[in-house]
Amino acid sequence: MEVSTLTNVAFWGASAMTLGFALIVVTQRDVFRAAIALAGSFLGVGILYFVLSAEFVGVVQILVYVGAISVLMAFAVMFIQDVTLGSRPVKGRLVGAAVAVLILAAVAFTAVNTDWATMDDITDPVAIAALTEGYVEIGTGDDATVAITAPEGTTQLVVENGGVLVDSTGALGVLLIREYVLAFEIIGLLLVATLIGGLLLMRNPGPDSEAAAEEKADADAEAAGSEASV
Amino acid sequence: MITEGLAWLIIALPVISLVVNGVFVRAFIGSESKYAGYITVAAIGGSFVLSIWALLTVMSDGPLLFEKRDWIAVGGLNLTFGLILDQLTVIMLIVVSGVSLLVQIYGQAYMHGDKSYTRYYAYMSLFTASMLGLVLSRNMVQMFVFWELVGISSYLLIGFWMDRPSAAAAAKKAFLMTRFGDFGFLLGILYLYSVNPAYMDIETLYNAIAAEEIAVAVATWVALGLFAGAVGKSAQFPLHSWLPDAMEGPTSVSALIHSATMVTAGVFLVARFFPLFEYSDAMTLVALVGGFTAVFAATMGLVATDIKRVLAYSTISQLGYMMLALGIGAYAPAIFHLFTHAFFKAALFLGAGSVHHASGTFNMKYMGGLKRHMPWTYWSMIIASVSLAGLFPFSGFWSKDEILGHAAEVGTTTATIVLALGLIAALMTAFYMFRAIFLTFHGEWRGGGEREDEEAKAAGEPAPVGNKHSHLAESPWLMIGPVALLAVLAIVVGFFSNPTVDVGPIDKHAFAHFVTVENEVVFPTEHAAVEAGAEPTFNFVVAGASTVLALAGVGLAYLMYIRGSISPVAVGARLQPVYRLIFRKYYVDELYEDQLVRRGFYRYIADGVRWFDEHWIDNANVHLYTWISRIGKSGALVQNGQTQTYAVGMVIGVVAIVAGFLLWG
Amino acid sequence: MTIENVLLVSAALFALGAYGVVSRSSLITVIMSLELMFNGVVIAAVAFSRFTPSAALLSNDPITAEAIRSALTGHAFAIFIISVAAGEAALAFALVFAMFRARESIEITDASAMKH
Repeated sequence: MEVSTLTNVAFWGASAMTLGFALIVVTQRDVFRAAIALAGSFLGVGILYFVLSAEFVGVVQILVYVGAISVLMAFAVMFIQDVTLGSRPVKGRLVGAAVAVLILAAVAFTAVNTDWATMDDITDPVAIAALTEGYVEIGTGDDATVAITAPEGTTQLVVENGGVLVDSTGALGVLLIREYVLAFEIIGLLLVATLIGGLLLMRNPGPDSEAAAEEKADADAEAAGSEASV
Repeated sequence: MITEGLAWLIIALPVISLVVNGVFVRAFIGSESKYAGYITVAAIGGSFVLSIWALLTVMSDGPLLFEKRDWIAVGGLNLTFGLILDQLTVIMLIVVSGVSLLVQIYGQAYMHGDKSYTRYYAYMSLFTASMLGLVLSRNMVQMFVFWELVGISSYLLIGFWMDRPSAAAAAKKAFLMTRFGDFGFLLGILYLYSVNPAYMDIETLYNAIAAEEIAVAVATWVALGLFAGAVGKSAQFPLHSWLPDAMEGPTSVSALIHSATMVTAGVFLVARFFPLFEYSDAMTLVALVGGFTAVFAATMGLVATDIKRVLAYSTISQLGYMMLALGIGAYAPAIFHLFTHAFFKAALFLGAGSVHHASGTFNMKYMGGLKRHMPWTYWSMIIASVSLAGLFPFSGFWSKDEILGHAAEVGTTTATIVLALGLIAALMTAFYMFRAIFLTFHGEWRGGGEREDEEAKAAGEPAPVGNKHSHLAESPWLMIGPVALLAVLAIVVGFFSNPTVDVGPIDKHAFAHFVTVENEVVFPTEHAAVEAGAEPTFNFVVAGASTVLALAGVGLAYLMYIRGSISPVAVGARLQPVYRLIFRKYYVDELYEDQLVRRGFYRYIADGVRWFDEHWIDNANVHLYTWISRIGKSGALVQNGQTQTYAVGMVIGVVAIVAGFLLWG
Repeated sequence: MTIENVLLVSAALFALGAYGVVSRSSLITVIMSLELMFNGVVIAAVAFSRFTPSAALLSNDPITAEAIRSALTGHAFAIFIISVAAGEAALAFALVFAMFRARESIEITDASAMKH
């Protein structure tokens, strides 16, 4: 399936941005620079999603990754990291590099040598019609209310509901609610667990633990110091 | 007509006396009880009577083969056992039980006062029972069992005076050397068994040989194996050196087992399997070994100083005669010589015991002039010596000359060689025997046991074991009696059992006929019997030659030891290297003891195996543990606590799985 | 823009992230590299959805709307992965804090107590 030149340029540009920033993340000694580069990399990935006709996923990417996770990383860096120390190189770098190259080689080899089924392999005429030609009405009953069309030249699904053009978001929503509802609910549960776990880890230690005694001693010293200064 | 039960009783009586002596008398009465002697003499006397009865039966009815009975029938192993009473067996029964009886009677006086008297008679009973069982056996394996029992009895009897280290060593040497031969015997049996298990039974074997069902090569190997056993037991070269050392045992023991019975077991074995030997290609070897041994042993007897050792070498030499006779096919003369030899050799040994009793020593250098003090012993020993030397008309003449005559008649190369060897040995036999007699009985008394001990002490050496105070008088009747009786038999048995002409009720060549022609089991055809010496012709030339040689030997001994015209010392000095070689018994003992045993076996084989065991096998678990722990430790190096190392490990693992899928689907 | 190209990009991002995980000494940078790896995976999922028909579409059964919708499975996958990654990033941050509180340092090489 041919795509337009613009799409190609956009694709390669977005890839270059992603990979470039990723390189900065893994090589820069200064952790703050790494954090900023990470945000840039996430942005690149978002653009890539748009190029791949996954609009909803792209939006989610920008909202969650660029908006939340990058900020989280920046917070962590500012709170904890001794910025002057940075992230110094580690002894096993070469081995790691070799391993990374190995992974790349493995996946690349697989990708290139596999005979991928393309959209051209679809034989069912209705499917072809749905995916390539215009409006197709399918069956009766509940499903009949959904008409799926696809503009020419792409596999982007457009769901038409009573004449209103909608993008893949709706179809995705229906998918999540109907086919993948179990996974959806479990993800919710997982996030609750993550929340609780995070709170647990960050909790102040109890009144009889060492850290509490330490804090108390610090507080006393401070109080004494401040009293003395007063 | 003897029944099977009575035939078994021949063996059973000495066994009973063994058990009674060994268990009851020793435990309840004492280890020095004279009842042991009475019981044994009674038992063996009973066996002797039964043997005579067996002889009469066989003489009138021919050979008897009692039934074979099942012994072991397990899986593929099927052995039978039983008794065979043919002429050969019956002759051996007479010899064994007769000589044993006389020796037991003699022992009553000779072993009088010994602190292990009971044990002595128990062992003597064991030996007699084993030997009788051996000659009566019908199955090769059964024979082997008794053969080994004979070996054990010999060990026990040679080492009878256990507290003497030399006796213990001699017993061990005897047992180990004969074991060597027995190993060959066992290999022969096993090989024959593997060819056909039914051949273990002797009658079956004879029939198979007559029908030529066995391959000649098979027969030869089996014969060689059997001959190995015979070489061991009969002290032929190269397994001869145990017999002179075996003189450490009591003299009566030597008289019984090392002159008349046990050592003849080897000759008996070859005779029993004579058809097998004839059928195979091993006869030449038998003859040559026998002939060589006859001369070889005789040379060593020329220079021995211990009277018992002279007799031991003489025994080896005479056994060589018997072997060479069998080797050239002279079956009847060989058995005849066995028969006559038993009597005069036993007489000589028992006489030597009397001499020891009187002079306190066995060393002839310290004897002399005993003729005056013990005339009965003297004359008996003279008679026996003349018989041994083979002078007309004593029994040794007849038997030895039949052998030599047969050799001359056969005329093959082997036979001519052994004829020459036999004549040389005859000369030497006469010489050494009369040298011994002259040194012992003639001349001046040279001090005896006391003087030997004194001189040894003065020279700083230990006194010889077994010497006692001299007692220059004739021995008690219990000792002279058997000696004299045996001497008489040595005179008459020769001519009257195998005369060259018909003498009254005794047929011409009765003995020879008896063991060959009438023995249909072994010699099924008349022709085979004749071949085996049933009709020995009297060869005047050979007889004359041997008599001349014997007389020459006697004369030489006379000149050297009585007249003193030829000084033995001078002769020894002239032939110094030869003298030394013979005196040291051709260094055979050193060869065996030092080279073979100490160096070859102990150092190379035993030490080598020990090194391997210590370093490899004992250390195997240490090595195992070391290696496993090293491998484990090297594996643990991966755990260095660094998270990133573990991450790398995981990634490598994933890549490996992916690669696996890629490459091998 | 063929599927091989996109997969190549995805693999490259993943490899870069893997390299970062094993060769950075600060725990925060390690977590950043982990996030890169996640992104690589999601790109691949989306690429498959874009270029490869699902099994339902390839089969000879009559096409239903569900079959058509199954072309978007990759997107659903991507949503799930992103959600989980977000939760995991939060927890990782909490871990970093905990380690800092315990040891005053977030050098990953210092966390080597579980060694042989």
